[in-house]
Amino acid sequence: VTEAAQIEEQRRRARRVALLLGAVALCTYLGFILAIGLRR
Amino acid sequence: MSTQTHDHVEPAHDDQHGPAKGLTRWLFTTNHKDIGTLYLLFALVMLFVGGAMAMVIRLELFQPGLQFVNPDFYNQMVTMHALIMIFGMIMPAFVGFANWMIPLMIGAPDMALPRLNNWSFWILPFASGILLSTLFMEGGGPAGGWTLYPPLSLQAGNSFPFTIFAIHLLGMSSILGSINIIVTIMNMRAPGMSLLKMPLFVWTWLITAYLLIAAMPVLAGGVTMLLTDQFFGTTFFNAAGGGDPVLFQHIFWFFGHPEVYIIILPAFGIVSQIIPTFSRKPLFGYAAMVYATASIGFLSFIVWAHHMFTVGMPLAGQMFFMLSTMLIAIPTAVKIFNWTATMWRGSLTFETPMLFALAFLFLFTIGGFSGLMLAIAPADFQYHDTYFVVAHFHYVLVPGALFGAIAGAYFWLPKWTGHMYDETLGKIHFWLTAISVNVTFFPQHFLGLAGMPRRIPDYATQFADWNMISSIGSFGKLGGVVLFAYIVFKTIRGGAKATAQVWDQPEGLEWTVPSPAPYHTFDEAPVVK
Repeated sequence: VTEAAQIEEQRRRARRVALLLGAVALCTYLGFILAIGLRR
Repeated sequence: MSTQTHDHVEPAHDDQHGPAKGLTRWLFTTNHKDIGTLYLLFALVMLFVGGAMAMVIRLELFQPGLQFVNPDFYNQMVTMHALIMIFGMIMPAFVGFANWMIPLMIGAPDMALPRLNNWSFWILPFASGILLSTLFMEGGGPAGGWTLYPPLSLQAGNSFPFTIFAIHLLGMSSILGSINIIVTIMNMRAPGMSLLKMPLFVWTWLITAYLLIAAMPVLAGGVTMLLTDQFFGTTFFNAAGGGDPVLFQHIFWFFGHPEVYIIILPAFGIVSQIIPTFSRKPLFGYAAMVYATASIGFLSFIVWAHHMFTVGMPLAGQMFFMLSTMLIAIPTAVKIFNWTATMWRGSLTFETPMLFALAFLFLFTIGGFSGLMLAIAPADFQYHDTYFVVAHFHYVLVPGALFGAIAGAYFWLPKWTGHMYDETLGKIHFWLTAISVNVTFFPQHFLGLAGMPRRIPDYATQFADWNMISSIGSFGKLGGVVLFAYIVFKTIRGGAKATAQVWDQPEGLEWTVPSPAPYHTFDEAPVVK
């Protein structure tokens, strides 16, 4: 595996984890509002 | 800590290039060093903007009575000073350090997501611009304090939705930056760089980034609810519609307390790099430092209501939040003792970064102790909303977080610019700042204990003497900030050439590359033993 290919693979994995973390942040944001809204 | 070897190899690929020319370099850059520089320069500009607001506050408080500004504008200055200093200055400064140093420290060629990195930065000036523009709107800027408590914050004029929008954007910038930092650290480390070989600065930022992702959406949710209460007829925080204004305080501080650690943990990381370097010893208790940082991160989420003991919560709640807050003293003390033990029998020298790191150690501890005083629920009823609180959090944030950032700037400036800073000027800057910070903030403890409330433009005459001394101290601090900016730009423009190592046998991959660090580094992964 060349150095460039290895870095590209690292970046591909990073993008997948980043999407997951972004989804967590978005769910926290919306979930928080919904949870409080529905409780009332 | 790890030991590393790395012979710097010039880029072998023909697709390597230097920076673009002119403005486009800065607008479209995806290079972590460029973006780090942008963050740091932006933070420096915001230090002046937020500092100017602090000067308005201290000028007004120089004497009792109303001298320069009307009370409403004074409240706007208090609110904006906090928002700008927190979201516009200190957080971007540490993200700047992260951008510059994390790839260099873990042996990565760049951040994992360079285009996202560009976007994270460029959201910032627009968001801060929107926030600052509210000062020129009808009714002025936000004036209800940075905590934005309803119903007071809902009484703002046209500026209100712009403030909320700006806070959303600032939060988005932080979240995107944090995601990038996490995936960079988790995916881009050089072979052999296991988690427990990472420099402490990288560790503290990894934990900070997780805190940001957990805390920022909560603030965003809270201010979105404020917005819908104001414009869409909801009553989340309006008792008339079945809502509860205290709920907002809970939401705000569930974000707000981790935010305190978001600000201070990277400073802990910087100090953990500096003290071993100038003690010529490895960091004492590396693993304990990592676990203490993680403990602080966890505990920061279960202490929030110590900010609101006076709202009338049940005794069991007061007990819980009092004891959980005191618990944070344990991992914090682990850090303080380990830094001290690192210096024990070390070959100490006192260059400017070390002076600021030592001042951090002493003065942050003062802020920590006054925090313990505030954590005692029955005593807090006396201190709450007084200048004692202002003194406490300024000791944590100025000689704590800001000194950490300044220490880091002096420490890595030669690596960034290729020039040594002027050591004499650096020491003058240190003593001017260290003295003036204490002259500014220490008397505020006395004012608070004597009963002076915070967020007021006028006060009873018995508070006059200490207020005048505090204001004089703040003018000295302004001089320190101007001198710091001069030193930074003087170093950028020239000075003695820095070697690759810069300091005496420092440890870490960043010292294996030349000074200034080349535009592209670690195209070939270094060997970490």
